[in-house]
Amino acid sequence: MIYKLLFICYLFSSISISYGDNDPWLIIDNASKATRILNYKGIFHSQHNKEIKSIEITHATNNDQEFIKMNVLDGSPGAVLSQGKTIYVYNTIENNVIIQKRKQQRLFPAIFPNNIDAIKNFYRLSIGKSERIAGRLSQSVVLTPIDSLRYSYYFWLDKKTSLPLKMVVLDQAKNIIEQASFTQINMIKDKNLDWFKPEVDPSKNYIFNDKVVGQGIIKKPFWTIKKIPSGYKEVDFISKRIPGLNILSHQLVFSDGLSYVSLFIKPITRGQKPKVGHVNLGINNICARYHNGYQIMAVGSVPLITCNNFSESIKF
Amino acid sequence: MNEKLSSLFDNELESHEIDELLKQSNKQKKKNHWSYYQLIRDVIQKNHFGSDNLTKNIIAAIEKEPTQLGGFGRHKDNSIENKSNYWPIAASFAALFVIGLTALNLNEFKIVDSVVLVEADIPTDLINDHYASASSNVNFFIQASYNK
Repeated sequence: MIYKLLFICYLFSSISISYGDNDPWLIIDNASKATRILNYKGIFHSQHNKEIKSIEITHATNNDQEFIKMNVLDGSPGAVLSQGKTIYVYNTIENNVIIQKRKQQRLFPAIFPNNIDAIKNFYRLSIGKSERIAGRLSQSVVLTPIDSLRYSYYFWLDKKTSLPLKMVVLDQAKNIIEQASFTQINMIKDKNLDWFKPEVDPSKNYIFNDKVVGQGIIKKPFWTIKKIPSGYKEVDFISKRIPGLNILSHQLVFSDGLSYVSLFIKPITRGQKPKVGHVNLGINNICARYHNGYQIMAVGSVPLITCNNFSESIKF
Repeated sequence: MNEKLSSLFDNELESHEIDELLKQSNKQKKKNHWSYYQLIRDVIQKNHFGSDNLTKNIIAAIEKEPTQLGGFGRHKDNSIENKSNYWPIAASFAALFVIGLTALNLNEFKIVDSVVLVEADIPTDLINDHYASASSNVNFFIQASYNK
């Protein structure tokens, strides 16, 4: 009898040890690190709503600093050059190339936050089967939300490097909201950074806008935010001066680590009609209401209930 | 003596009394009294219109006064007090200015006749702002808000 009890104790202890050593969330943590430290070059398709475009990406880490270059290969040329926390976007519009300094974003494949604790509390992780993506063996993983306030995320992570090779976002009805997938990818060993420069077209006019939108305006909220959907935290704040009027328009950005919602607080000017109600535009829900002279509007790739909760959360 | 002088100006003396009085007044230097009685008589008889000397003295005194070019000088302490008296007036004007400006701004964005459904007027500018600051999709991150 004693031997039996000892055996059961041993069995439970071995299970707990094996679970501790193989925390399933490590696979997401490793993927997050892989997007920051690996040197690679590839092409992926990015589908947004009904539009699909091919994008070439080159990523390298040199002296703990990330260098990223992305080129839009289809349609109107566009590029991103990112070094550390500085990011420049090149947009070609007819004969002009507009260069903008922008705030850095987590763009595919680097869509995981550095600290994945935030997503652990609001998504369930399940491991799927192995599949080939872009000629490489990958492990599929699913992040299913614990509530109805966010969408499901499907990832295919490179088995060898943990780099995300494919991502699909599905709504509650299993409709594809957004997806991105590598068609080819290669790890690069050459640490030369000669590629890190924009492709200049001498026939174009280059217009440089070095000012980040809203930079230098101090946050002075006259509102309070109550009962925002659980798991979402304010990650950014942008204020802009409305041209011709000495009043500000505000944008608050919230995220749960994967999903993003912008909450706009914009004064209604003379002759403007405030917007109310909600609309679904492919991946985005937009929820609008009018309050005390201001247009309140929530925009994001989130379920309608989340969108509504955000638009109703502002009080002043 | 003084009574005789007074009688003289009242035409109450005989001619020999007048001669005698003039001789005595010259001796006794009664010139001032003489002038006073002349003045009293003129005033009683309503024949006094002021003296030429008085007018001349007033004009001379005015000419001696310094010319004033810019306002009246004030005592130092009074000026501080007066300056502090301007503050309530300035504050009142500032308050009126702020109220006026606020009223203008309120008029600028608070007149709302009606509302429209958001689906009838899609706010593309706000969607672009959202993509530019929160999108995980590279394509739209690049394209968004290029028109700023």
